[in-house]
Amino acid sequence: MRPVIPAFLLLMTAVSCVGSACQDPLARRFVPHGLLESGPNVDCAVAHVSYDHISHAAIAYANGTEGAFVLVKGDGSDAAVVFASEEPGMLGGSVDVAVEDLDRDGTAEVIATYTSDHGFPWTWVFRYAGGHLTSITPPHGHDAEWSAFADVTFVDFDGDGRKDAVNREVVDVTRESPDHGPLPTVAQSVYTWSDSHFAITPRALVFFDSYTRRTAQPRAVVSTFDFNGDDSARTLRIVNGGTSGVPATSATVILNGLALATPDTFKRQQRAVDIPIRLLAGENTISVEIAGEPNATLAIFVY
Amino acid sequence: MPLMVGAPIVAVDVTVIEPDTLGPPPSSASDPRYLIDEHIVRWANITGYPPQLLKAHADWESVRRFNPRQYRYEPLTTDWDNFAGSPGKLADPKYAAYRLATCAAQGAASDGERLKAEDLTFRSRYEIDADHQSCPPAATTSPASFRAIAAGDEQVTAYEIYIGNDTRRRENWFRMLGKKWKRDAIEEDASRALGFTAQTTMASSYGVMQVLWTTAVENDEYNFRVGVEDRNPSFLTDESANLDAGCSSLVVGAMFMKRKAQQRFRREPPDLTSEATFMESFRVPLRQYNGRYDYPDDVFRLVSHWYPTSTKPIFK
Repeated sequence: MRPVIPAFLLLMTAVSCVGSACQDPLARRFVPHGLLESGPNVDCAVAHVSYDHISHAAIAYANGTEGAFVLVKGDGSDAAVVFASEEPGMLGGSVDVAVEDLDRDGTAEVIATYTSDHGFPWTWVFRYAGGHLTSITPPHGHDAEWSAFADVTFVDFDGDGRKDAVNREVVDVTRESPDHGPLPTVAQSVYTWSDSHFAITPRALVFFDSYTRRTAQPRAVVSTFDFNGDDSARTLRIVNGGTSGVPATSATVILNGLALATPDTFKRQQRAVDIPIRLLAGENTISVEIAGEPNATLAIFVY
Repeated sequence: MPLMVGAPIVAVDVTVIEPDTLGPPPSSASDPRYLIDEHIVRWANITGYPPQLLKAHADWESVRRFNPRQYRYEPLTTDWDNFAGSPGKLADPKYAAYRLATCAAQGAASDGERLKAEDLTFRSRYEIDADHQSCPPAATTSPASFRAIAAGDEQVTAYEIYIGNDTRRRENWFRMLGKKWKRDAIEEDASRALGFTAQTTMASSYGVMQVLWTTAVENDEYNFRVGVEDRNPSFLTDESANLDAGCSSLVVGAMFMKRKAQQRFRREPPDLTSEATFMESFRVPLRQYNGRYDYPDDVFRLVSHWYPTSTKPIFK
């Protein structure tokens, strides 16, 4: 039976360093020779993680136009690449790597993000099991070479404690005039867990945001979003502790002037609440104020 | 494509008929959409990137105007990622020669010694606080009035440009922004997140192919001007002097596509069954050019406008 590493230990062993990460000894050894010397546009990200009680390094790298990902087992002279991936969507602007136990099975997933020079990020998620790393990234439609994940926030959507993936992608751009910038159409959707993978078919979201208590005094954060759909009868879901796992002790959520949750009705012990709502055509305003310890978070979804 | 192993190699002479125009002949000789056709054909021949696709590509990037001086500053991506987030890069000789003087918080660097006055002209398309002061303190209120950035303005911050142009003049940087942590930081305190000196020379895209200066510089095989050491941002425009010198965004963009297509074709040879399947072979390289998934379709839709046409008879 594979030993299960407690989450707190994962956090201790996962160290991500970006920027100077190309100087990481393992990066220098396993990123293809010559790439690191090709100029300052080379970007590397390294996350160290323990699998099966053995140190591993997840290394993402890009050279300005293309990128790749490797998992290296060990950190001594016997270190070796145990997994490598090179997809067209691993673009070459900048890279980030994070390790986090998204499904709470005691083993960290690896999250590698590649961002193009024009600022479009693409994300891959890898799961470790049985001595192997496997991509659990859903494909982009029928395009198996491309990830469905662009700008991803990992947050519990269904209240089961596992972090689902909220994906935000620019799906269309209107170029009305060179005198103005491109006008994007943005789609947000959530991919929940399906067994040990993310579901292939996402659920479309009208709105998503996560709120973190950062200030000494709770303060309301106001967001606006447009709604142009036909069916204005929707559901607003509040998930307590959505991104950080630290729940708010209470919250006030006001949609278009109507209080949906107040400190009297929304308490710390509530994990997820669904509230039927009716959206306005055009701009909708949502105000969220949370109370609790620092880093308490609340996630709001409208779907 | 049919393939016969062991068949004798046969020499075939191919005569390339240079088209007169790309697309139907213009009604006016000064139609800006046709002024660089000669160069598009030239660089299509050099790179193997089909001319109708190269022109469609430039068409999309220049928003159907083919403005050789097309320009866009990228405060939330290129500047934030390359220079604000990596102060050391501003000291790198590759960049230092073209940087704009920075405020104390960014090391109080001086203007780059290779900067030309021409490099500073592009940013005048953006408006800032009419009461702009060098190294302005962080501000959270909206300015009372705005004016275009003047040639003599120093230490303009990305925040000033963002406030003056993002929604007010529909630059839409925030809506395009693909990183939630950045959106959160801006919503929390834009003046703090964007309080760095705007590198409007280096963190911008130029010309009909909207090539980022940083991308061009970081790929050393691209010449800006043959035999000239300087790599000024203004060399990336598609004006005659640059095109004649073999630089400009058209050249850099076509060379980028050549390189990406070669990489792609080594992995998966192009499908030569039909013109449509051949064009389709450029889908991944096009997506790599911009990074947006549906970007190739936006370019493909414009190809039919720009087929080569010739008034000369091909068959005699």
